[in-house]
This record gives sequence, C-alpha cells and structure tokens, in this order.
Amino acid sequence: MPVKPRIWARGDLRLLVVGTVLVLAWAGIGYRLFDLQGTQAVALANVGFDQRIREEAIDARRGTIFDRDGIELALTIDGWNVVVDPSMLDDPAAVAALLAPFADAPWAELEETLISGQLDGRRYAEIAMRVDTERKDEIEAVVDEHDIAGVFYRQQPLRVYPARNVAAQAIGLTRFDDGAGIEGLEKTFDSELEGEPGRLIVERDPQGRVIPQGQVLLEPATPGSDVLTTIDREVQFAAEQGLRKAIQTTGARGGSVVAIEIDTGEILAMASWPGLDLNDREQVTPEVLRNRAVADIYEPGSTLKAVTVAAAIEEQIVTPSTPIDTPKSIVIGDFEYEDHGTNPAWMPVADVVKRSSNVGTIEIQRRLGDDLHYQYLTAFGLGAPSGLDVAGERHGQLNPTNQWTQTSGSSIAIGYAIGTTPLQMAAVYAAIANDGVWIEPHLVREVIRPDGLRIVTKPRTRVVVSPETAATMRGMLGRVIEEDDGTGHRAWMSDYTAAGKTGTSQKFDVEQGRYSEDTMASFIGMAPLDDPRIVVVVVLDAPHGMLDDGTDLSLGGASAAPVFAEVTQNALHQLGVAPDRK
Amino acid sequence: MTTQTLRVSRRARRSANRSLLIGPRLIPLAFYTLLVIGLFFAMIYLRIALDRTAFELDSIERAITHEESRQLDLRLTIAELQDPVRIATEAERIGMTTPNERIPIVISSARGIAPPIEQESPVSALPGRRP
Repeated sequence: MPVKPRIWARGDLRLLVVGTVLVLAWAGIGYRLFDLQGTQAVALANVGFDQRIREEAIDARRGTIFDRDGIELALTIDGWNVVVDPSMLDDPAAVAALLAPFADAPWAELEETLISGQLDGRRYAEIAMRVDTERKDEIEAVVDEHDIAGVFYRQQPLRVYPARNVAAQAIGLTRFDDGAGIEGLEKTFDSELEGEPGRLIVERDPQGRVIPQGQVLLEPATPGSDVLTTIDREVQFAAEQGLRKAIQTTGARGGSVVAIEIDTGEILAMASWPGLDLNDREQVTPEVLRNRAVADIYEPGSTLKAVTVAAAIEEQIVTPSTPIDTPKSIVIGDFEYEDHGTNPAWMPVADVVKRSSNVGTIEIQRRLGDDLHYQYLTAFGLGAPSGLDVAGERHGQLNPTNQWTQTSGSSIAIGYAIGTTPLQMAAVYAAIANDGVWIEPHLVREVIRPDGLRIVTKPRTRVVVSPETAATMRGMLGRVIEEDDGTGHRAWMSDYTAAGKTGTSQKFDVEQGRYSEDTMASFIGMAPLDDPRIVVVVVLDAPHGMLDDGTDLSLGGASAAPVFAEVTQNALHQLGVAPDRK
Repeated sequence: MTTQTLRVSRRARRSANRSLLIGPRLIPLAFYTLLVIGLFFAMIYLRIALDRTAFELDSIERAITHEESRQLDLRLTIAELQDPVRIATEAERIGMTTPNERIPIVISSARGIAPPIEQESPVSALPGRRP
C-alpha cells in the first residue's frame, strides 16, 4: 500500500516557523524602514537638522576712536576668555599650578576654585578673562604641552586704550560686560561705534566641527563707525603735563585744561585732574572719570569781565580810553564790592581790564544795563551747552533777567552769580580771538561709516561782536600779559606774544551757605597775539600756598597763568606756529 | 557524405554564430559596469575633493581671522609705541631734556637764495675728530 507522503514533516514545520519568523522580521524591518524613510522621513530629517544646526551670534567690531592724526585712542582687539571645566581635570592642583601665572586670581585661590569645583561637580571656572591673543596663545601652549583636557577659549572683544591716560575723560569708557559706552565719546557716539551684530547658521558635527557642504547661512556683522576726534595727542599730553605739575606745585584738589583751535572750534586738548588709565578698571571711580572741563560748573570770576567790557565797547558805551571811576569799593544794594590791591581813583577802560578792577567793571556794567548784558552773555554761549558732542556737558547757570536781583548784574559782571564750564569760557575767548565769531566747540571732526561715508561735523557759528571790537579786546587783553604790571604777566611766553585774563573766584560752600576761603583760580588766553591760533583755559580747584616771593598761589595770575604759558607754548610748537616774539 | 558535412557545418556555424552573438552582448555590459564603477569612484573622489577644498577654505578663513587679529594687535602696538607718555618717559630715561635756549632758523624766500655750495669738510672737523 502506497504510503501517503506527509506534507508537513517535522523538519518542514521547523522550516516553516523559521521562515515565517524571518519573513515577519524582514517585514518588520521593511515596515520600519518604510516608516522611517517614508512616513516620518521629513519630520526626522528636521529633527536631525535641528540637532546639527547651530545659530551663532557674530559680534560687530566696535569702531575705533582716532586722534586728529589718525592714531588710535580707543581700539577693539580680539580678546579671549579662558575657562576650565573642573570636572574634566585629572589633577586640579597640578593644573592650578600650571595656569596660575596666567590667571586673574592668585594661585591659592585658583587651586581652591578648581578643587572645590571638581568636588561640587561644577563645570565652569574662570582662569583669565579678556586676555589678548598673545596671552591666550601662551596659555594654549602650556595646555597643549601638558595635554590638559577641559580648558576652553571663548572669543570676547576687548576694548583697549593705547594712549592709556591721555584724554581719558574725553574718550570715556565702555562697560566691561556688554561693551556699551558709558562715559565720554564712547557714550555720546555709542550708537555709531557699536555696529550691527550678525548671525551665522551652520551645520556642525557632534564634535562641534563645521560639516563641509553643510547648510550655512551667514548674515555678516556690520562693524561700527570710526570716530575721528579733534584731539591732538601731543597738545593733550602737554596740557596734562602742565596740569599735573600745577597740581603738584599748588596742592589743588583738581583742575582742567582746554585748548581750542580758533579757526575751526576744534578742541585740541581737554584734560582733567585727577586722571586715570582707562585700561586699569580698578582705577575707575566717578571722581576720576568726571570730565571737569564740561561737567564742573564754577564761577569764572574776572575772566568773565571780558564779556562785560566787549559788550560795552560793541554797544559804543565805552572805548578803551573812556575814564571809569574806580573807588576802593562800591555798595550796591546790601553788598559791598571792592578791588583787590590799590588802584587809582579813575582808570581808562583798558586799565580796568589790565588791573582787573571789580569796581571799574561794575561801573561799565551799570552803563551797559542788565538786558544788554544778558543778551551778550547768551550770545557768547553762556547758560547753554556749548559743545555739540561732548558727553556730560552741563548747561551752566544763567538766570534770565526777570529773575535777577539788584546785585545780579554787578556780580555777573565780575564773574559771580553765574555758573560756567571751562569749555564755555574757552568758547567765549575763542570768539574774541576769532574776530567776534563764536564757533561751537567740538570734539569730533568726522564719523567714518564702514562703507566709507564720512559724516563731517558742522559746528554752529554766530557773530557776537564786530571784528573791530574783538581786535580792541585782544589789544586790551594783551596788556594783561605783555605789560609788567598786568595781572597775568606770569603767562608771558618766551616765544610767543599772547593775550588773556586772570580769574579768581571764591568757592561757594553749599553746606555752610557762604563763600569759603578756597578759590577757583583760572587763566584764559590766546596766542599769538596778532593772529591767534589757539585759546587755552586753565582752571585749578582750590590751589593754595605761597611762592618764594610771597605770591599767593590761590590767585589765578599766580597758579594758572604759568600753566597757560607752558601749555600754549608747547601746543604752538607742536602745531608748527612760528615764534612771533622778536 | 557531402550532406553530413554540410549538416555539421551548419551546426558549427550556428554554434559559432551564437558565440559571436554572446561576445558583443557581454562587451557593452562589461563596459557599462566599468563605467558605473568608474563613475561611482569618480563621484567619491569628487566628493572627497570638495570636502578637502571645504576644509582648506575653512583653514584659510581661520588663517585670515588670525591674521586680522594679529593686524589689530600690531595696530595696538604701534599706537602704544606712539604714546607720548611712553616717549617722554623713555626720553627722560636716556637723559634727554628740553633745550633751555631756542635757536630760530630763519629761512627767507627760496627765490632769493643761491643754491647751496657743496663743501667737503676736513676730516679733522668731523664730530669725534676734534681734539
């Protein structure tokens, strides 16, 4: 009997099971492949893309601040933050010893930071912040030599000031963390200097390397504009040297010097004492950062007499030879004004200026009248900021005539009851030197955009007095220096003739509510006399002491006038002005 | 005999024709296979070449960035060297002082001046030769 063959032998069943399993497995794999590569392909590709893609901000390089000759006063270089992941260190103590010479913190503190950081599981410790590329390369060499893992370098723009303390208050400062300008030109021109940050979208591998042929989107940063200032570093240096010496000689609490080029109104120098090195953040305090030339209001004293006399001459109320009664004192309201020293019973106007007679000037002011006087004060730029680009400049204090008291006109005529800044006073004398044309003083000549567009500063100008009046004033002010009995004879220079005026005002003590013994000693002048090129203002805060010949250093003619002579002579040499003294 | 020979010859001819037909069919196949393989490797090579170029570009960009950074550092150094405070300090250190006496040199109009006459200074008049 034929045996019916078994369809499903035992081995065949196993084959069937294995085959089925394999088919199911392959089908599952196939399905999964289809699912991943088909159904979810786009979504997964996007997830992967998102993991690889990195968006990085590109810092805009901050613009450079130059002096008038194109030498950098403030510059942004590539700085680096060197940080460590303590958890990656094999031997924190050894690493601390190796990196201590470069670290901001002392060795013991660094060692403690790294060891405790590792124990606490911290992953960030600062080694050296904002170091330059050279320093970073030195650190990197040590790290590579000793094969230290866990040291990272992050690029961080670094603002540096190559001239250190030259024109420090005028240039100003940027904030340490975000680089925004907070003082001086850095603040005034912050929006121009900062530029527009860009962004880079790039595909990176898990090690952070850029994937070649990967997706890249680059929106480049727009660098900030450059600022070309009017500062002459040599003149600025001369001003700071002169001021420093005067402070040492007179023991003054502070002081300022401003030098203005007459034809253009450009500020050649703007120095303040105490000063600071802008690269040393530990020195920065509000006191040293204050630009006294524009932020300090003082009563200008006799230097303001030039405005009173110029106004009276312009209005043809007096001439240089007009006799003026000069008694020892004069009483106005309940206030008695008197002259310093002994003067004749009457003097011509020219001598009133030369001998700086308070009584004589008050007499001239009374002939002029308050309204006209006020008009000229405002025309000369007093009571309003005079610099169009100087950060922190104060308006000064000049009340309108309807708020004047019986003594206001007399007091203002001799430089009291009015608040001015050294820069405002420099502009007043620059107008006299410039044939009566007042030019807005300014610290920036051009802003140069990254595309090369140059935005040139155009200062306001106005005619205040006629050229004849200005020339007459220069002649009278010249006698103050050039004649032996002039109050400003100590401003006499060996190479150049000059004109100017001394000023000494007592400081008002706000707490005591009265004038103190301290003075604000000042001198303002111009040189050369026949064709003035610069005006220099020197203001010293509370100078004191005596010279060997008994001269009181609290007076502007004794303390500030010699500084004027030194600074002006140096500045004129630097500017290449030929000596005019025979 | 003749017929047999003819038959054999026909078979052999057919066989020979078949082999002749197979030969030309394999050649294009082999050619295309080689072409595909060649293209495949060429593509790989091109891809590698592109990647290498991309790496080179990246390297050049890094070098440019580094040089730009160095240029900024050099600008800073130049500015620091021109710092008047540094120059004054250095001048004082080597003993330079401001001259007490100034000697003005007056140059009249260039038209009125005769051209300079070259003169050979005697050796004894040169600096360092004087007794």
